[in-house]
Amino acid sequence: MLCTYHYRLIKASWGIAVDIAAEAEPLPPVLENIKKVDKDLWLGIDIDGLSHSEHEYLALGLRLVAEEIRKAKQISGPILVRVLDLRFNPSDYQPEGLSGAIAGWAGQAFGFAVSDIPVTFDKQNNRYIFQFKGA
Amino acid sequence: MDSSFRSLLYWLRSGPKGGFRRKIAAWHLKRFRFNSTVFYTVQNTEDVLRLRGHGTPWPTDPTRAHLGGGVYAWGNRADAQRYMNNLSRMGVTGLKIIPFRVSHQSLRSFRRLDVDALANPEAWMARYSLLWGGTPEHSFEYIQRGTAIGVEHFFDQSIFRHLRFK
Repeated sequence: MLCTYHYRLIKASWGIAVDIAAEAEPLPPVLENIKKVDKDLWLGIDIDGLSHSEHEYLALGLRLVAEEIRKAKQISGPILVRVLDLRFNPSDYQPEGLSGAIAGWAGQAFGFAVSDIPVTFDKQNNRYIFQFKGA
Repeated sequence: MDSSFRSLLYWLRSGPKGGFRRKIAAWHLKRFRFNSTVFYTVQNTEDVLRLRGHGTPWPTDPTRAHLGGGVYAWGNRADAQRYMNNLSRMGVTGLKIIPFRVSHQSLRSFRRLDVDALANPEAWMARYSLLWGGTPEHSFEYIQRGTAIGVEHFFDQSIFRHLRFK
């Protein structure tokens, strides 16, 4: 089922605001344009224009909650998470936020509580620093 | 710029080449350039026409109007270009960088806020920005804030008449 999650993080005059729409489905027999991110968990991104690192941050975010998805899923067998839409304003965006966005989406879609990714704001470099556990 | 002054300028600029009217118009333009600041806004074709008219209808989507209806701009062309490139790669088409000027006198007269100068900018954003769940009832006419791209300059719709687009 398609659902949209609104990821919001702010610790300065700007923040990270990403709206992500995705759906989970059983893994199809033909594996086209999808990537395995963990055992039994695959990611498909149906959006043009994303950079390689943005693809990686989406995969990382899903990997961070892979265990919780496995416990909460109601689909037997492998799962494909398909990202269908991403909305953000470049003024309030950093690619690392995609990890938080897709992890939050998974929590909402599968019904589990997601632990916040520890984030600090580096004022000197005007960047958010994400501390990904086990990344 | 009110419509009678705009008409006067148009009349001066449409005078004969090398004539007195054109000289006055050129002198006025030079003086205004010296006494104004240029900003750069990124807009699609439809919005360029809107801003060259009365500005209405103002966008209301949180990603385009998070501090309210008005003009969001950058203080230099490089920031505007970076912003436009980021939108373009996500499939937004027909974008242009549109410069406009605001006189120093007008800039000084606006009720203004520099969000970065606040002790707790994130609390202010959470209260007044649509993006962070707030409502843009802040009563400021000109707001500056640092972003991921550069400094964003927001001009509220109530002072739109002070923005001079080419």
